[in-house]
Amino acid sequence: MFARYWRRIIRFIPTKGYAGFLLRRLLAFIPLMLGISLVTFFLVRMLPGDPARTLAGSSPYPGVIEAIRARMGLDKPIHIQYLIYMGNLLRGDLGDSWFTSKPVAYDLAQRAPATFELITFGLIGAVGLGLFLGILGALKPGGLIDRLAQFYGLLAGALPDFWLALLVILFLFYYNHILPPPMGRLPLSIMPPPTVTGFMTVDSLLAGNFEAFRGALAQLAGPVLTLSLLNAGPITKMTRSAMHDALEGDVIHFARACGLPRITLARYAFHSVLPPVITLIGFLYAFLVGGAVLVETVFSWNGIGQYAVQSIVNKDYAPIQAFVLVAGIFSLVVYLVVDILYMLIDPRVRL
Amino acid sequence: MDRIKRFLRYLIENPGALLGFALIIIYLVMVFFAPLIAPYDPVTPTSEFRSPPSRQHLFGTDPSGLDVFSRTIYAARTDLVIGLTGTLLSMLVGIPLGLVVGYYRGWAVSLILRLADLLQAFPVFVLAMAIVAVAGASATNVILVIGLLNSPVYIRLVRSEVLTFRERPVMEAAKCVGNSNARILRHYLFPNNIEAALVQASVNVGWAILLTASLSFIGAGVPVPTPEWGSMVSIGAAMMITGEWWAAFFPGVAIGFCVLGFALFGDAIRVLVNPERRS
Repeated sequence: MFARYWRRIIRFIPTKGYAGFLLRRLLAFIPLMLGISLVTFFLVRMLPGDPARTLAGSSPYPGVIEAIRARMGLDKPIHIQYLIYMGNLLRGDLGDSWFTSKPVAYDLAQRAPATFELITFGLIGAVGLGLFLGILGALKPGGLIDRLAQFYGLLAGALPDFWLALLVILFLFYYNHILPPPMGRLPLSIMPPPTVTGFMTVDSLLAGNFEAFRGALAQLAGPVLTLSLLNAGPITKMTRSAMHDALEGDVIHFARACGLPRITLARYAFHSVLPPVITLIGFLYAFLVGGAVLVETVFSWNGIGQYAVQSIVNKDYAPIQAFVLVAGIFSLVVYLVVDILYMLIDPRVRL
Repeated sequence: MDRIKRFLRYLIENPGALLGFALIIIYLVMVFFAPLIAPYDPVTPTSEFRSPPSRQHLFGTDPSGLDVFSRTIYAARTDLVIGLTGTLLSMLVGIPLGLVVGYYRGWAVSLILRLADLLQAFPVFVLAMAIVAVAGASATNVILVIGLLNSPVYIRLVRSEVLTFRERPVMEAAKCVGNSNARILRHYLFPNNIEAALVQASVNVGWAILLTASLSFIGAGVPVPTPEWGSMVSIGAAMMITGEWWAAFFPGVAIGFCVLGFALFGDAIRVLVNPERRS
């Protein structure tokens, strides 16, 4: 009886085109999320080593290990544990950190803006540097800039990030006093602006506090420089090869024959650089959530990366698990956004 | 003889490849001849603490009085062995799985692909960090983690090769003649589809070494007394604040050159194996 109405409604559910693609991808999200939660769940439960025993410390009292196990829910069968875990997740309960004595969700929410501000600026720097070097290299293939840029790309992928961060601090802070001491997001003497977005730069501008703005930028300079230098490599390579291929192509050939100036040619070639670079930016953004961890630690940035590292040193399992979960979900979301953007930009891609 | 001449000429024409080969040879020498090259024992403290680079201590000493130069050389053993073994493990897991996943169809295959996807969804360092933190920091665990986290790369690589190779007439002929699936996998698919994976292996060793050093830097890798470049940087980092740069600087340089060497080596192998494929 309701079938008639049901059929009318189903007819409106999109399956083709942009809306259909979006719907299908969002639906595919669910099993992926399930998978991610499974992986993070089993991360702590199935590996060797008993979390309850480690938490209890050395030579505990007789009943302590059992009490901890009961509190963590480790004495129940594994599927019940998983259901409890999923139930907690859906309610937003990520467990508690025994080190900070606060819920992990609170800790993460407090520290996440720091990481995202750093990653965003770092990515902007990396893209700027990468596009600059890649375009210059492609305009004169085989030339000095091209070869230097390629070598730089290789080197940037080879140098360890924590080491480069230490060198940046050494040369720009200790020897030359250009950068402020690496002690967090604001110089110690400046009051933070009221929190609107969580981004120190944006918030201080919104509050009209230019001293805080300059302070925040100064503190950002060191880690952003490190991240930009390290991550510009793949962007340089991709930009250079895409631009080079475009410049050798028929369209540019014809345009040059028509007598168009070189700058216009470069602009036309740049259009074909955009799709792969945007995909790459997406991948880098997802990568940097976990990849900026060490830079954060060296610069004492108080972001979620440093939080995760601290939790490892303190053997605090709930934050580690939560961090892996958050990083995984964030990656998935970013990949989805990249796919959508790609579809919007490149008219040839039809999904 | 002719091959050797061609190879040498390639090296001379491509300074990048020459640098890569030279670096790898230098590091292999460090691995095998460490006791002959290193002036001091890597775990026995000397009487000078925190002393800058000098004639006696080429790279200076660290807060415990250990000679940085000797430790850097001995650390090559730790890092390279872990990197090479881990990459080998990921290939041993990833290549056969890739062959199977490319050749067969079905729900089991989709499941394996899904798992590989899932593994790749996480940022590698985050997952590695978490696994080693829970399982305990040791060289073995680092090797296992590298093997696990790098295998999806090989699965995908080999799978895409097999997917195209599977449609060739030679495969159809092999099936018609009556070869069993196992024989096809071993004699037809395996030799022809692992080239990309072998080329990728060299770059992967570099990444594995970076991962090892990063894990050891935060204390989730090789435990402290064993010389390892990442943990050496961590020890030297505390000294950097007072301007004593040498304990953290030189191990980092060692990491950089090592990874660079493997990357250049991988590039060179890629070109040597197929001259049409230049970057």
